[in-house]
Amino acid sequence: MLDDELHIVEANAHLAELLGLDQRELVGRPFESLLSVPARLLFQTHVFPALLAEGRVEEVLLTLAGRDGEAVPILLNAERNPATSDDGFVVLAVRIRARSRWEQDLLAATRALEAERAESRKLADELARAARDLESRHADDARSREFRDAFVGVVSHELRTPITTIYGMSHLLRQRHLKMQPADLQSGLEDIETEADRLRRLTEDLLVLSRAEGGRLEVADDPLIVGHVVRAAVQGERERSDGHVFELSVASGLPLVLGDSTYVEQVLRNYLSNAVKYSPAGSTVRTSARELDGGVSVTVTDEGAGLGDEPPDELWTLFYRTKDAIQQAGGAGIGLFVSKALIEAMGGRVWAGAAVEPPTGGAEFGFWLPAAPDPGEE
Amino acid sequence: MPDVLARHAVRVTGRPGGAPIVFAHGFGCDQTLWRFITPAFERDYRVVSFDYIGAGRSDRTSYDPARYASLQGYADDVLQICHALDLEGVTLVGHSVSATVAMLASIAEPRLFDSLVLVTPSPRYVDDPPGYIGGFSRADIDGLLGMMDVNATGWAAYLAPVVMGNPDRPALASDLEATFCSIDPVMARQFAKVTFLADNRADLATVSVPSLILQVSDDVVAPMAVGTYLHERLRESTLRVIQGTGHCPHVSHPDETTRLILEFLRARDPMRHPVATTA
Repeated sequence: MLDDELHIVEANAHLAELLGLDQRELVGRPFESLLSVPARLLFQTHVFPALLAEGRVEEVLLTLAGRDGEAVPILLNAERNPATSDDGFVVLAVRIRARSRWEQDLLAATRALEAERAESRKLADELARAARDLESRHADDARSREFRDAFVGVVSHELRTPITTIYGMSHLLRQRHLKMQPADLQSGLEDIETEADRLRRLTEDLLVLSRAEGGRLEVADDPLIVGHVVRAAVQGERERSDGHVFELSVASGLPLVLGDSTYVEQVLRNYLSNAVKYSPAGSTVRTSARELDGGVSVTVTDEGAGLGDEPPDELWTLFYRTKDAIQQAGGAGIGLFVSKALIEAMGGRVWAGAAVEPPTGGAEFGFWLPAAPDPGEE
Repeated sequence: MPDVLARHAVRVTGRPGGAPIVFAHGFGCDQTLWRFITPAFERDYRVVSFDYIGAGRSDRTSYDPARYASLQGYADDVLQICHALDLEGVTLVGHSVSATVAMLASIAEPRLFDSLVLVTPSPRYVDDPPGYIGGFSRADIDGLLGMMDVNATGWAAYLAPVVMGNPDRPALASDLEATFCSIDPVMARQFAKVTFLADNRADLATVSVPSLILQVSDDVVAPMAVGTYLHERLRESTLRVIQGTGHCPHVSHPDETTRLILEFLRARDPMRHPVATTA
């Protein structure tokens, strides 16, 4: 029995025994003082308001502060004293052992279930991640398969054409060279030479390509005179071609650049042969080298149809060929990719655009290489 | 009615043109616990009470654990309700943890409030030795949370009155005078955790709205030392002590609680109503 202030008016021996106290000691004490500290919190925040507001509470689990500080779980039932209705409360506390264990077990089981759920969520996340990994690996596989297919297709075509010519022509020459006119003989030999040269260049590009794809592209960084390389490349292209006019302008006093002359020449040959391929016979291919941004820029312009609306970045993609390019001439779509890889490996950059001068609407391809450090500064 | 008012089962009574007084219930119950004192304010004041999401007749489906992971989420609720009702010069009465919520709301929008009434407040329940006695150890709080878990597992009936708020029984739910005190177990546990592990001592210095601290002389949840701690640190605070036991003086000592709040508000009247300065 509690009074309105929840002080104990009367308590039975059983409760006293639970608490390890004398029955008489209990009288006058606030009920909450019998509770463990956490139970006091629950009592004051939940049980007491409910008790006052509603006049009763049922089966609340609380713990008493028992002998030696041991927490004694009880179920508490309380209601406003039915006899007086406005004066005090009757409280029944039932010690719970088995049920408390039951509830603890249930709680433990609930928590285990929650942990298991969390675990399966984690597992599901991991599975999803693994699936994404697989997908991306699959995408990688698909990409490499695509690459291989494109590679095989392009290369077989690009290799077969010159080989067919070389084979056919050399076969013909071996059988008939004694009976042929010297001019025809000359022409036949030139064809073989041209096609062999084409093969050589393709092989060089493929070599760079395979190194770049494998991340093993290594370039020398020797100081080199761009003017010399440009002159050699243009001269070579001029000898090869008979339908185009080649103009060359090399600014004086160009700084040395760091790079690999073989590769710089390879890039230039790619640019020049593209210019020849995509512009009409008799037109001019201009090559110029000048100082720019602490380095040397080299541009090759033609008087062809230009790049049109093609996005310039796409041009540098492996195996990429514009629709116009496909219609105009054969090619592997390797040269520009390789050129970009080489120039970038030498610390430079490449670009493509519309030819600026003279304004004939052709294409311009350029590269830039950084100047070698002034040896005087070292 | 704006959504926010329905969501929080906002109840507005009293004099429509009166100065607004908003009652924010504490942890462990809902707005019905104010019913012992609110009638005394209805003659002069516009009386507003509400349920936090998860308590009473609030819209429990809109409970958002992330929003209520800190007391600021509850303070935002109070501010939203005040704005939805277009209130100005609000007296905000907050019980227990809502006293802290009231302080946070007043820090966010000091000009919205005329004054705060902090019923059995505590800025931190866990001791922080040396120098601060909140009344509880971390183990005590863990014990409370564990006990709440057990009580919520199923057949323990301390949340039995929840059934009164059951949507299957709309007759009961619509009865504003229905006596019940209900709170969703999940919400209650989170509220308990946020409440009892909060530390808002640093916020006290930034409270600029005048406040009344209502302290119960023998309150295990918010002991006397905490009341004086607050009084020392809150600018323009008044401390009044109710002799008695317990944490809910508005339930156990409604008359005295009402009297002390009205005394505090009347003492502030000259400032709120310029007409008094001509006297």
